[in-house]
Formats: sequence, C-alpha cells, structure tokens
Amino acid sequence: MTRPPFVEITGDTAARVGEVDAPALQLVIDESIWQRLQAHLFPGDGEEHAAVLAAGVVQTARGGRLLARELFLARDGVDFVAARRAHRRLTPAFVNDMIRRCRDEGLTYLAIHNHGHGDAVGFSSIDLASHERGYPALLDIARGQPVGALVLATEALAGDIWTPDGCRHPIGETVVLGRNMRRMYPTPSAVPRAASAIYDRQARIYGDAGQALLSRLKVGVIGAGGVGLPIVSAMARLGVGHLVVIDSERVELSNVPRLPESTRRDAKALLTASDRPHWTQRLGRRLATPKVELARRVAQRARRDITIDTLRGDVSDPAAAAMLIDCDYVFLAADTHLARAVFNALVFGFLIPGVQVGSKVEVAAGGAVADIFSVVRPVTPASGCLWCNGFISPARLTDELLPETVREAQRYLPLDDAPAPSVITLNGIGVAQATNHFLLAVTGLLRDSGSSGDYRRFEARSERLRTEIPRRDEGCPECGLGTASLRARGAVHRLPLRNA
Amino acid sequence: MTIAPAVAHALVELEQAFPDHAIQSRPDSQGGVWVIIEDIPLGPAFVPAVSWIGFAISALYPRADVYPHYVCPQLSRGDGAPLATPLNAGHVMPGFERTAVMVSRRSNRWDPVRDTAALKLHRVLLWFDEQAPGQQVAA
Repeated sequence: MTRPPFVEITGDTAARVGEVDAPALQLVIDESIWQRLQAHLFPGDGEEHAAVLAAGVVQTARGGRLLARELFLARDGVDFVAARRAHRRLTPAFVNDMIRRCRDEGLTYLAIHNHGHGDAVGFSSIDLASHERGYPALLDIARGQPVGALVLATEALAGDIWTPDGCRHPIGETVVLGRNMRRMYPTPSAVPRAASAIYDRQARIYGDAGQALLSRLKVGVIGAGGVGLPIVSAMARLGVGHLVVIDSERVELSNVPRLPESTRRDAKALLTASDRPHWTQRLGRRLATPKVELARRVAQRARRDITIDTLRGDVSDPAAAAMLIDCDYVFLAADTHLARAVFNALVFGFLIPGVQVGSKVEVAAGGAVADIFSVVRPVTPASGCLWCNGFISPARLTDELLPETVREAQRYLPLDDAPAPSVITLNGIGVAQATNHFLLAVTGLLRDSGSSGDYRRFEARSERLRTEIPRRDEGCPECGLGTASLRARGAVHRLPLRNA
Repeated sequence: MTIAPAVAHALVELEQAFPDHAIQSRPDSQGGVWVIIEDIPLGPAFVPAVSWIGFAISALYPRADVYPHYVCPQLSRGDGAPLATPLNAGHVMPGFERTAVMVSRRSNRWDPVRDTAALKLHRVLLWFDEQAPGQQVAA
C-alpha cells in the first residue's frame, strides 16, 4: 500500500494521534552502529540501558524506511535514570537536547531501550503510556519530523513511530547491513512455505526462508549491457521478486555476442550492415531493440511471474532515481562516472547496499593487448565509497554532462574512437563474483572473516585474484559522518541528478 | 528551468568574489548554468590584457569540476609565440555562443568539499599571471 509522504500538520497534533493501524516501516542500520548499540544495551549486566538514534526517512512506493544515521548513547545514571512510573527513563535534558538536534538536522528522533534476551520483544504498557504522554509534545518540537521509540531484545526489535500526519507505525522489519544482511522482526517470522519445486536445488543451500526472502527483494540493475544483462538473467532465475533495470541504449550488432538471448534481429542487422545506405543504417539503429526491453524479455523468459520495471534513459534522470531508491540492492553494471556517482549516493544516502562490476581490456600504444581484468567492488554503508577510492572523476562528470556535440567541440587532442575491446567470457567472471556475493550476503551465508567491502580484481592473463581494502575518509561528503554528509539522510534532492 | 541549489550558491560566491565585474548567467537544460564574467585581467603575458571569461557550472557541481574556461577569441601571447595547450583557439563557448579561446585547466585533484567555482577561477587567473616571463609556472 502506498502511503502519502510525511506531511507537517497544523493544529492540535494530540487530537489525531492514536491511529495505530498505519503500515509498518522498515529500519535500516549499518553494522557499525548496530555493534555499538548492542554493546551498550547488552553489556552482560541484565539491566536496561538506553540510547537515541537519529535517522533519515525515505518514503517510496513500497512504504517508509528509517535510515539510521547517528547513535547517541545515554549514560547510565546521568542521561538514563531511575523513574517513578517506569523502571528508568531518559532525563528531560537529554531528550530535549536530542529532539532539537534531530529537528535541526531534519532527522527522526528514536529513543531506544532494551528488554531481555530472545527473538521476541514488545513495548510494555508502561512504555506505551509514556509514549502517549510524551510524544505529542515531541512531535510539536520536531516540527514535521517523525518521532518514536525502539525496543530491543538480543535478536528482535520493535518500534512505535509517530508521524506528523497523526499515525503510529510499527517497525515491521529491521535490516542490519554488514558483511551479511541480517533481518530482524518484533517476533519470529512465520515458518515460510516450502519453496517451489523449481527452486529445490538452490533452496537446499539457503533454505525455504532464503528463497522466500529472494522473492520479496527488489533489485536494481544499472546498465543492461554485456554485464548487466547476465545479472538480470541470474536475478530472475534465482527467484528475485522485483527487478528495476535502467539503460539508455539500443542493441547494436557488435553487442550481440555479449548479450545473452539477443539476436541479429534485435540489432536490425539487415538495415545497419555497413554496406547499407546511411539512411537505412540510421533507421535500423532507431528501430533496434532497447536494451531494457531485451532485459525484460530475458527476465520474463526465465520467470513469467517476475515483476520488472524498466527505464530507457540515463541513471541521472530523476525518474530513474525514483525507481532505484526503492530497491533493496543495486548492481552497477554501467561504466560512466555519472552512473558511479548516482550509485554511490544511493548506497550512502539511502543505505542501499550494492556492487560495482565491470571488465576491461587495456591496449598498449602499439595496439597490443596489455592487462585484461574484471573488477567487483562491493559498496556498502560499512565500506569506503567510490569517491574516497578515486573511482569517480570530477572532470569526467563534467564531460559526461555535456551534450555530445559540445563534448566533441571541446576536444583538442586527437581522439582514439576505437570501441573498447570486450568479450562475454571476461564479463562472466565479474558477473559470477558479484551475483554470488549478493546471494550469499542477502541469505547470510558469507563467512564472518574478511571485510564487508573488499574490492576484487581478477587478472585474466595471470589468472590471479587480487583484493584491496577500500580507503575511507571520515570527512567524505558522501560516506563520512560529518554534519554535511548525505549519509542516511534519504535526501533525493542531494542525489547527483540532472534537472533535479 | 530550475537551477540546482549548489549552482545557485556558486553564483552568489562568484558575485562576492568578483564584485566589480558584470556577471551574466544562463541556465543549461539540466540544472546547471553557463556563466560569463566581464573585464577580467589576464596578466601581462597576453594581449589583450583584459577579457571576458566564461565557463559552465554543471548540475552536478560541486561533485563535478568546473572546466574548461573560455576567453576572448583575439587572445594572443604578448611575446608573439603561438598559443599552446592548454589554450586552444577556434572554439565557441556554448550557452552564449561566443567565439573563444578555450582554456583547458582540468583539476585532477578537484575536491567537492573544498573547491568552488570561484576558487577555480582564481586558479585559472593565477595560471595566466604565471605565464609572464620570470613567473613560476603553476603545478
């Protein structure tokens, strides 16, 4: 069910609160914040502890998501003290400081405390009475931002989120983004239905619950070329429920050897052959199949019941961003710096984990083949970003935004217009690594050892796999935690888009 | 056409940095602007010594570099030497469609946090200054 965006209401907020049937929200939190929170709430003393989480909010077609941005630990006996009505409570001074800080930064105030161990948790009647006494006033102070509370057990999380439109939303699901993506609920989720027989072999790896999870996921694929299209095929055959595919190009004859299921007919080969008149070649290029339509065909041939949304356009188009911010995971399979910039901002601004995948054949000055490699760069909120690691060039962004005619006019050095070499077998290496990483991370099967975001480079000529730990700059305006960073703000207007 | 907030802020900074110069801007179709600042001194190495200077601030500013810049098409070296890279004659500055010499000073270390359109313009003007005999060439 689609909810309207959170809106600031005027008048008496308190008169409208109490509607508790509002749709559940999802909370997304990265592993580093989660670990700090767990250590603070469950130090082994069996006592209650508290904290405040400042979170961004994003409202999408599938509902609302709270994006954990910053954690403030309440000091026992100072900020979190014994209370008359409850066991303990946050002091008014601490609450006041936190709610104003959240309001000034446009973030949601979430007060957190813990109950005991286990995989089920809920608010006590004392907790709920305290929300009803205090949250109308907090909503007034928050001036348009939601406020709420979270309660944790060691393996469960529940929430009571009050929005300015007068609704109270539970937290339906919490996703902890680390090396694996863990999911938590207020109570243990129902035993999933047995996976369809068609998935029997793969469900034996990650279980019926893993297969059911895949069917609930929405996965974005930026680029439907020689790398993106096999990813689309793999996602469809894995049983991913919903795909979003963005690409601006049409199939060309020279693409066919790298695009599974494409044909010469998709490229309108009879019209575009080099011996045809220029006007028929132009007509053929205009009539060729858009790559996103090929992606739709590939996905639907794999699975008729898949939902697939496509956009023939650039990823820096606001319409593309609107589709991608609703995804649970994004594959970057396009090699423009603009696409990298948008992808990076989606990962950190909206806490959507993803992976960049690509391949390259380097040719030396004399035309000889030099290095041949494919790269897989997992980019998660817990890792360093593509900006910090020098994979986005500000100058290339400038170039790529210019119309082609202007870009051509600005060139003053002879340009090597030869297309880059590319081959399906090399693309396959990166696709296999990236899709396996996705599958094992979402189903929680990656081993705990290793970094969540090691970049991998497979050097095909020496058959060597190199890994690199990504750098991270704490002052980075995208992945850093500085007050100006876009991290976890859910701010569409801060995405690097044209005509935003 | 809407101008991106960061681009609008850059225009304000340019007005503050060059208060005595006429500044014109025209939106591109993507949220950025084309800018021309009049009567900018280019230093003693060039003729004419004063020119307009133009450039684009793209929709992705400040993530995107501000380059190239354009100056008047009559620009030549005072010592009679031909113009050489990064100066390239025979261009047209888009947005204003003025014939121009293009100044291609790309910033390989552009920092979206610290660099601004105004700072970049100062660096380009510094480069012009440093082309005079006896001046150190900027890195």
